[in-house]
Amino acid sequence: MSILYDGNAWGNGNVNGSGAFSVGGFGGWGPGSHSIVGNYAGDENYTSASGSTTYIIGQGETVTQITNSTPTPQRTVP
Amino acid sequence: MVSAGGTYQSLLNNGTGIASFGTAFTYGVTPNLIADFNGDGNLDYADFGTNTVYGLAGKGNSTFATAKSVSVSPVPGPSGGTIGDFYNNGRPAIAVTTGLSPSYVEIFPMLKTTPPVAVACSPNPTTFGDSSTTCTAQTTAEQPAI
Repeated sequence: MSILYDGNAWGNGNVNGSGAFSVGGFGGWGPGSHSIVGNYAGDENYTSASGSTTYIIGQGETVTQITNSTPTPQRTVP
Repeated sequence: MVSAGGTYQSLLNNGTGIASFGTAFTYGVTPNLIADFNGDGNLDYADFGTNTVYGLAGKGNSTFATAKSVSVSPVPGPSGGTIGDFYNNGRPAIAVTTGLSPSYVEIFPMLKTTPPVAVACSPNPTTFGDSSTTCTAQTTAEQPAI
């Protein structure tokens, strides 16, 4: 079984006893919709087959940090 | 299954001993291989043509899906065949012999099943992907014993 994201290879290997193959580790994808495709190569009993899903990554919250700066002492003219 | 002049027709038993005719079709020359080749519970049909074995998946209602074919190599083509569990997986396969001398035997499943493949990712939906994101592809295809 191989898994692709957005048409790029992500991982491949043998399925386990339940017929599943997993791949983990975030690939640094940007926000938006990403296509995840699983390709089964087939064997002597089964044809090749594939399935897919869409994985949606939302835009992360924007954090604005405001830092107070120490005011420079001003010289006051009497 | 009955044949006449290369045209084959299934006879349906309606439970009263009176048979009605199913859809007629023409394939190959030797109508003698009937089994559930693709494991869907319906009987399928296979026979021989020139260098080719044809397989028609039965739909369980006296009709068949479009024929699939497997080329037999080396030529000349199949001169006979039989059904058996040659892969020792509980499913019927076909062994064919050619007209070569000595004869060449080829074994293959006649009709392969296309398994569904489901893909899911977690966490899903996500607001922001991270290193914990995992995607799993799952198929119902038979898996070798571990």
